[in-house]
Amino acid sequence: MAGKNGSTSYTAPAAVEEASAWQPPTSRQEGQDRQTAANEEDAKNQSSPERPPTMDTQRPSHDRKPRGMLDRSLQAQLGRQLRSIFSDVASEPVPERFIKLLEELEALEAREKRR
Amino acid sequence: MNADSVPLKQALLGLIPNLRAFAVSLCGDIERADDLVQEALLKAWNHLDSFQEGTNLRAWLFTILRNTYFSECRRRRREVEDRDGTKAAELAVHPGQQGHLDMQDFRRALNLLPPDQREALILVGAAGFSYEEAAGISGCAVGTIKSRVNRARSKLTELLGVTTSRDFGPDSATEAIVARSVGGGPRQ
Repeated sequence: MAGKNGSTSYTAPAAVEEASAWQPPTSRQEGQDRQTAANEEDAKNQSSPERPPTMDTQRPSHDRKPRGMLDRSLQAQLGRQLRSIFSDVASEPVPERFIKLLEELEALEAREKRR
Repeated sequence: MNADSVPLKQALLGLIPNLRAFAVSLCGDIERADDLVQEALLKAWNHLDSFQEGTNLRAWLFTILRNTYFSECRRRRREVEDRDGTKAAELAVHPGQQGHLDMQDFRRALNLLPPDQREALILVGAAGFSYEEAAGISGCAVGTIKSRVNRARSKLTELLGVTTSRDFGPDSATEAIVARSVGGGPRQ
């Protein structure tokens, strides 16, 4: 918004741009509790109609920041896909080969102990 | 081995699914992942006495597995030159529909990330470790983990061709081609 007011003296250093690029996803995670707490308080004080706090993410991005302004829903989706790759495998039962491996190691150890 | 090692072994068994999940997301191949898990389990077993009771067993196992993976990567890199480079050139991932990224595309893109970035992203974004824990596992500074996660996210988005500008319609190149074939301007 500030950029449209004529004077564009603001030029973000690359490092700042980089830092802000990863902030939305993490601050979203960490800020979720805080946000719900704030919403609840909001509701208590004003009993206002439900208003999603992330409305402004639907705006088209600024062309100068194709990387930093990643769509939140897109980031959320990438996160979901990453977690599902992980949890799909994590929810599988332990393969027989590893149960056997641990049994063998245990048996070997027991035999060595007896000597 | 003392009596304490019995529940430790049970815990080891209980953590295998997690270890496999980490290995698969790291190397992108279930068979190779299971070999990594096997090697990590053997190493863990032989060094159980070096595990400090009361510390995070899961993090300890993940550390062993990632060390195994990365030393294997180094070995392979010496054998096969510039494999990632050619793979990267082959990649052309274009999700058919906005907002509906194919799982297959995602897996491919994930595998194309530099291994250290992929690792950081998995540890923090999927395995649920804190930045501090992830840094401990990877043996680097917390800031390094943060920047790796950051770069991994940007790179993933780039590989999948889904920067925000494209979320709102065809990119300018496509528009130009369409305009030429139709004989009109991109926007009337």
